[in-house]
Amino acid sequence: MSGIGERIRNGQLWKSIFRVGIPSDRRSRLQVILHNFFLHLHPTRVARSGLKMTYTFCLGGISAFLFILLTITGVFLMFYYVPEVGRAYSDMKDIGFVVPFGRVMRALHRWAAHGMVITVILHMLRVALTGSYKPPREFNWVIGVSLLVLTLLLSFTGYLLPWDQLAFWAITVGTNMAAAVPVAGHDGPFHEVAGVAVDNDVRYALLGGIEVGPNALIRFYVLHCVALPLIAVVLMGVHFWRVRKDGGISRPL
Amino acid sequence: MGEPMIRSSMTRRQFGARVLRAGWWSLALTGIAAAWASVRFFWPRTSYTPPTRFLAGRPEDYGPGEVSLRYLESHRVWVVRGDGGIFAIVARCSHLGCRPNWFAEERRFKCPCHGSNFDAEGRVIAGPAPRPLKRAAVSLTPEGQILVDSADQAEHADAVRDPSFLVPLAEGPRRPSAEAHGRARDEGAAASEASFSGHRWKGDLA
Ligand code: HEM
Ligand code: FES
Repeated sequence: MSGIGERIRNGQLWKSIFRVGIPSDRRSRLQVILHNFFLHLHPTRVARSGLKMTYTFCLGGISAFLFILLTITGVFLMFYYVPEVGRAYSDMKDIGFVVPFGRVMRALHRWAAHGMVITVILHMLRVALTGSYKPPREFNWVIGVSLLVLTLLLSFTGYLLPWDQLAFWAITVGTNMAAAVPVAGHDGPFHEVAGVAVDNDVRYALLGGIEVGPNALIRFYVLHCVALPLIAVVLMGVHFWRVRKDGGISRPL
Repeated sequence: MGEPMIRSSMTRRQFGARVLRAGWWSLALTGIAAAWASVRFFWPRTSYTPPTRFLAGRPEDYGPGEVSLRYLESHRVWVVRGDGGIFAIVARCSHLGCRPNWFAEERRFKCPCHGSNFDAEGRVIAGPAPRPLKRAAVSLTPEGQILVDSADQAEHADAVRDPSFLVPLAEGPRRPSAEAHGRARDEGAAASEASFSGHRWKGDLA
């Protein structure tokens, strides 16, 4: 058997994919990380203190894992869900009752979403408590804040999609908060000076109309399934790359 | 021998720099225009919602004390006949903007989101709502129809003092005498409750 393994690993096919063989020393271990697209985002070496479970609690890593899980389960849900006022709710019911494993898929998506909000916040807390936001890592803290906002926006936009009473009124209330923003919202202070009214404020742009309706559903769907995940992926790439460039995981002083 | 002859006041190099600058400027302007367009894209010129000005029948169509749900789905207002006349309440909770439901038996609006209660005039009875419900402007057309303008809204306190938020009940034979009015009111209240039986909520019958 080991003969077959050997033959495969020495074959042209294998070698064309994996340039570095089984790592045997420091140098080849480093090369494995450097030469792999997925691993190269990671620092080639991590200080022993950074590997300690109780330092990072892997909270950023869990957040990233949950994001991947959400992307995969989300794509599955997209095969059945149609963001149309007359269909959305019954599509959710179909996913729950007639699609094999549909309920598992939806539950995974929903629980992972709740989980990601929690782990991202805890990750931020960890970074704050270990003082890892200090130079040279200030900019990564800023990227992190953007990722937190994106995580919350993903939750918010996803919440409308089931199109049930909870979704409808939650988004009504949520977008009314946008209407209370100074100047840019029609219910906010100083809106008169900019000539802002119900039909041209930020809430109007968010909903594509003056109330939560079909336009709001398609807007939230596109934001939730395309726009926000794309931005999040780019920012996560920068986030991980900065961890590497800023000298790996911070060390306890 | 001597200087080369220069016919233009501009050197080739200067000309090149000017062209380049013009190029960069047009690129920058294109970028700004594209950015503006990408933002403006999200504010459509039309939204397919019913017009904010609409006719809501004649004053006689409303019984005394009636809170009509007829224009609720389409225009998000309740047309109400109170003591002083006909007025329109905007169906948007003053707390965070959900739509309260009218419970005819209790003569209250109750908001499903955080439980605010309002009386038939839209004043707060209970819950987190900080202000009474807003009113929409109403007027009488020359043909005697009620015209509601839900884009022209006012806070309760301003609306009750402003004649453009009330259609007074008509003078003349249609108007009941003071005592008859009182009687009509009671009967009317009963009648309007009966007419709402279809809208009763299960939990409310107990
Ligand atoms: C989508 C959300 C996020 C993901 C997926 C994510 C992911 C990660 C990962 C995998 C790490 C490596 C270390 C670790 O696992 O703790 C990391 C480090 C870091 N993160 Fe995040 N993060 C997110 C949000 C945030 C937020 C909200 C902040 C703070 C505002 C933040 C600030 C940082 C900083 C400063 C580091 C470097 C920490 C160090 O060197 O010790 N991140 N992040
Ligand atoms: S929105 Fe009506 S009580 Fe909160």
